[in-house]
Amino acid sequence: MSTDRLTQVLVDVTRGRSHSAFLEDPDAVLDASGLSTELIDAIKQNDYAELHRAGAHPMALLYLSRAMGCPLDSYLDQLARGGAAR
Amino acid sequence: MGLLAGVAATVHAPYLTAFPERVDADALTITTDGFTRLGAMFSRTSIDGLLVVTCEHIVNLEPRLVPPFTIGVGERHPVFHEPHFRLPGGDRLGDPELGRALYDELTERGFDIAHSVEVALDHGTMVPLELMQIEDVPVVPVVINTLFAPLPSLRRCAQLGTALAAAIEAAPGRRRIGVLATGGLSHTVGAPGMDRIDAEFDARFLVALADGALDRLTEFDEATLDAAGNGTHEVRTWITAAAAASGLSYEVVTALPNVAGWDVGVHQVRWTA
Repeated sequence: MSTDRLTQVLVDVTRGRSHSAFLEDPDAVLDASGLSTELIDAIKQNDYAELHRAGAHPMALLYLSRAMGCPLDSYLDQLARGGAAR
Repeated sequence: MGLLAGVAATVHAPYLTAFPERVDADALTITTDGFTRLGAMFSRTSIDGLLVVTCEHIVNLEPRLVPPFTIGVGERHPVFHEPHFRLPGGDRLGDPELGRALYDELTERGFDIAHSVEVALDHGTMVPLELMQIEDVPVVPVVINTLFAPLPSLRRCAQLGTALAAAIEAAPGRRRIGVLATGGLSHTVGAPGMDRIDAEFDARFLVALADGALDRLTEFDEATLDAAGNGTHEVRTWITAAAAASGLSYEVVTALPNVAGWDVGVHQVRWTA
């Protein structure tokens, strides 16, 4: 799975072509995304550290955290505790 | 023949408009005065159009399609609404005739730049335009990919600046065109370190800028930029401006190395005849 593909999905669901559909049925959008089960679970569980380690673009990841209502400090703390990107 | 009526480069950090109350009064006054001076420079020279060399934040570019350089040739450019940064929505007047003329000239000079009738303007463009109070001047955006690797090389950005200056001079009519580059020096977005800058990098970059040393500006490698923070790749816009301004007089407008509360340096420079 390319990191670009992961980033593209994050962009699509937060501000791109899948944004509206994601708001209505996130499971359906993620299941059709082509991402691995592990990454889909990380998105569903707001596991930003795992997505960061998997190579998601930090700006796209920040937008996902905002869309999910995660405060900036909590988001950054999760990344800081979660280790560096692979 | 067109005329290059002045070149400037400025920070565009969205906290400047989002959180003016976070910084001390002196820093806010100096920053506001800097933007006012840049706006006055372009007003004083009665520009007919403003070429904004900008980077953006996943509004036009995404992994699906990432041109290294894109010029906006729309009649109007929609503003990507970011009310959380206290920025207005709406749109901005473009200049498709100028955009197309620059595109043609760039192509002649070996730049196969992408073109778009709908380049959305995000805070990377709107923070400076709002704080400079530039409202009625047509805007031609030139977006540099500073987001998704591989990025255009620093040397190629300098070549773009040189070509843009020549294209402006070759543009039809007697337009007076300003060039505004927007972007940060060292900073990080979306990752730990958002509250830090790399003062050593900034100082080294600014000395090279003041010296007009394009060779030193373009010798930073990707690892050095990464180490200074993922947002540091925005210096590509500054390098483009520096190359476009070759032969003009350089002046520092604002130099606040690290503003607590915004957690960025506030730097602004300009080049005039």
